[in-house]
Amino acid sequence: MKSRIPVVLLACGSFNPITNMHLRLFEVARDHLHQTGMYKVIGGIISPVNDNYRKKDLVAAHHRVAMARLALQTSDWIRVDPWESEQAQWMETVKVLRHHHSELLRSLPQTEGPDHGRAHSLAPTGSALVFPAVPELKLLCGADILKTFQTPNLWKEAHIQEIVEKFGMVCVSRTGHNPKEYISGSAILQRYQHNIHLVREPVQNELSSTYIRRALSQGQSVKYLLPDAVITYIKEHNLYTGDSS
Amino acid sequence: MVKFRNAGDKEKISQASGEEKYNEQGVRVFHLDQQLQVLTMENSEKTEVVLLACGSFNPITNMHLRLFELAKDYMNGTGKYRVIKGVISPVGDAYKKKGLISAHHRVIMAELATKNSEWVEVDTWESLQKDWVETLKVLRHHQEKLEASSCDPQQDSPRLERPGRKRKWAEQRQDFGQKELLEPKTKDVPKVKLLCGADLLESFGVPNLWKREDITRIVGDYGLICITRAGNDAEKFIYESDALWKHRNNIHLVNEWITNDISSTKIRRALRRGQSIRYLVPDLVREYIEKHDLYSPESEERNVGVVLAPLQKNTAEANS
Repeated sequence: MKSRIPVVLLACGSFNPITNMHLRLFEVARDHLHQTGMYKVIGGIISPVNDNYRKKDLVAAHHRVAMARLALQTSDWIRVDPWESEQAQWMETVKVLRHHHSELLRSLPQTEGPDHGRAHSLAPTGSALVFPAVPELKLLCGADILKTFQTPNLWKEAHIQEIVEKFGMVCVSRTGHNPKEYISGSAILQRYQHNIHLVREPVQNELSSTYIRRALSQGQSVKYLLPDAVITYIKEHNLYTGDSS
Repeated sequence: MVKFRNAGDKEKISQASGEEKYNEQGVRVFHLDQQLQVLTMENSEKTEVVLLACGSFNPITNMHLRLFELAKDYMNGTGKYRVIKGVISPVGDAYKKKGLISAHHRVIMAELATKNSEWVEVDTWESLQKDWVETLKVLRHHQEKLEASSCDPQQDSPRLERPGRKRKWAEQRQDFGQKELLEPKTKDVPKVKLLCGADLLESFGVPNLWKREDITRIVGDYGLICITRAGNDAEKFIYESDALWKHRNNIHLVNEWITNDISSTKIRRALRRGQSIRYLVPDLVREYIEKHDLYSPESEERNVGVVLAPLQKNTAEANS
């Protein structure tokens, strides 16, 4: 019996604030990977970016983490991890991937010896796979991230390679992007395209955190665009009112 | 010395002709009821609006719920209207649309979806009728209901956003005297308006789907609030129709800047394919659908080969 490769999806980003669209990425990615027959998604991680990223209008990390936590209250497989946001400085995505990958390996049952991730015991028959396989950690993102690989000096070449070679990506398409184009336009991406899973989201959704922030600053309703618990948190803490902080 | 906040207030207060009181400093002091009169006068210049959405809601989605929020923000933002209530009116089973599941379930899902809403509710009148009911008749039903409860100050006023004020408003109306009760207060009766997406507006062009007179009455007597992404197409559609053009002031086009394409059709398709609908519909609705296994390839085959009720009715009347 062929067993599926376990996968954990990691999404990095500002989550300023988290929206239903972010949450949809996980659901859509999981469905896609399952329907390939090759993977079983066993977990999802949201990793809000460090305050030192210095993006415009970025509210404090502890708020962004708290909002993500509230949004994930009803999810039984996705969690928020504040590690990246708690570091002293901003760090490249590949380092976040490396961190969470080693954490994953550390949490595996057979990790006593030095050979991390390798099977120790064989099944009695010596054939079927019975022991847990090493989960793969994949970067979950919008397909527009593939485009940003082309922006000069935004990503290190070596990092792009490590991301697609050692980890893998799951890219969910948004309107106005043609992800296949981005892949064919880059030698590295083409070489590892088997490790870049392109997912079509049939429900076209242009919802973005930028839109949410603008609507909030104009006193407009954002109900049904993000979880109610997050909206309540935003109101209670007076976030995104448009006053300069 | 008498001081006033601003000149405008002085005029409004003298109209109210309440008791005039002054404190020790000689500053005019407003009795609580008079302050209320000032506030309500400003608000009473606005037309109160009830947003009515008709449709299959098969199932209801976050997009349907967004329509209400967008419409309310827009109408309140004009400064001329005050949206006091939203009504979801699921269509009856007699509509005979392909894939339409029982009204009973669609009503419950809409109720679950609006459980946490302070101003949007579900009305079952249309869904309980034996035959299919034209949208114009649903509008008329709800407008008459509002007028009936408006003439009698003892009955519940239409649900207001701030429940505490409701009582004071009703008390105040009694002070206006007997005469007011006999005359229908047309200015005070909230107006029902049809809330829809651009697809409904453009469906006016489908032969035999709508009666021409109905379209005229809907936009003429009631009004339309249409949430659309493609504002230009909608404007063009209105321009090309004499009936719509004539009542264009009663057709409010609200731009939905972000595409939020959560259609019920896509939800049903996702469910048939075992795909997640989380974050596209309220959690309670999703749980209800899962618990009752509502949408399947079989349910999608309902009413296949059956003519849609309005097409049947209008074609028959045209041929008679």
